[in-house]
Amino acid sequence: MDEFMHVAEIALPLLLQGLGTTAAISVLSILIAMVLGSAVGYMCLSKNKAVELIARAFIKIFRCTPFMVQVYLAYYGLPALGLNVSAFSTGVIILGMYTAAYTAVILESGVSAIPKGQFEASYAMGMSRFKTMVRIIFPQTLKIIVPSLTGQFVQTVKDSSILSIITVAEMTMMTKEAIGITFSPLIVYICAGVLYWALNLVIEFASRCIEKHNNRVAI
Amino acid sequence: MENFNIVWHYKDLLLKGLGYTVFVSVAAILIALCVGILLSVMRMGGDSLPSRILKKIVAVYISFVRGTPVLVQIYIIYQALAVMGLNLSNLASGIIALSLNSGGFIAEIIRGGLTAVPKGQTEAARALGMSEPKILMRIVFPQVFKVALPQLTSEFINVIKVSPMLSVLAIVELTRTAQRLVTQTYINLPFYIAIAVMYFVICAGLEELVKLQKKRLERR
Repeated sequence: MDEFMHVAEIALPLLLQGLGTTAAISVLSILIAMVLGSAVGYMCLSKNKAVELIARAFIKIFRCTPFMVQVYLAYYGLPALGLNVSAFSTGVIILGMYTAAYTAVILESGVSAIPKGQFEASYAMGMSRFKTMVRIIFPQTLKIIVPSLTGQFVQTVKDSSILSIITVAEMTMMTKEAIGITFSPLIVYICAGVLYWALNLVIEFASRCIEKHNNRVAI
Repeated sequence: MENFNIVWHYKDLLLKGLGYTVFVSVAAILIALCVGILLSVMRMGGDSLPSRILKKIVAVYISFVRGTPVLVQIYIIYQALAVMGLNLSNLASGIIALSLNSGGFIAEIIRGGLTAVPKGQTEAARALGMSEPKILMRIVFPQVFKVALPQLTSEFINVIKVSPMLSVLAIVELTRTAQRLVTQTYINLPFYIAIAVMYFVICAGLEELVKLQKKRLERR
């Protein structure tokens, strides 16, 4: 137990520093995912077959390959395309795109739960398709998809750990540094696991609060 | 284009890596199925104190598995097995880590499937004098797995997508094979594109299977 406390004392400052980076990466990726995911989800619902096909291909490619392979592809691919960005930016971009594919699917299924009458009423009022989506449909969809969306955000926090393979200094990367100092890998990894767990429990708790609030408003 | 020829030159190694990936994933999902069933049985008990404690343990386990990254879980299991004095190969600890992770998710899938089995089924079986384990094995679980088959296949896809993380334990599955070839040949992008395509073919194929299973379920 003494050893545990001693190791934790050395490791925790490093891990918390990593946790900050993990949180930053996750928040930035989620923002990208929300914007890009909405765009892709909107494209999926398009009447234009070509546009829909592009969106479906995007979703399929990102959902049917392992995230780790995508990270490698981005890490070597972006410089090959002439984009010399830092490892941190690469991580944020690829995690954002990966999450966007899942967000798009969640959004699409949410939209399909909205009654058709809502669309028809908006068109009857003379609103354009885009305006209908942004003003009428998406706000209602957002309420329905809160649980699956926050579930996806938990997934994003977890997936950010993979970015340690391209030397992004997030928490999993920092555990390696802490192990280099303390030489007790198990304790440090358990500490990291608990920190991730705590972060995700906070997200889940927030999700439940939002849901409760939404339900109260609905009544 | 020349670089892709080099990738083609190493196709045997890549296919061997793919074989390893499939082997690891199949082994992991089979053990995970047992773990998932065990977890579900553990939380089936009534309101007595021991079964309440069991339920709490299962809840914490599942929450931990779902709330921490697989990568960290793999490291923890790998180190924990070593500290416990079990001299397992990297391959074995990797498979154990994957199946302990996937087992938590499968337990949740089974929980969903259990709601599809009407209470009358168990009551009828009990009235016929079947023992509790027999009821589970002969009456409840066959129906649960019939309903949950599409989700279980999805979980298998997930395991395949998670398996590249075993490369951190130096298990020579597809991703590790690619990493090795990259350091050998100094060509990176073509190899990663090649393995991405290989993963894509398998996962997209399995996803079609999921769709088929869902359709069959709806028709019934």
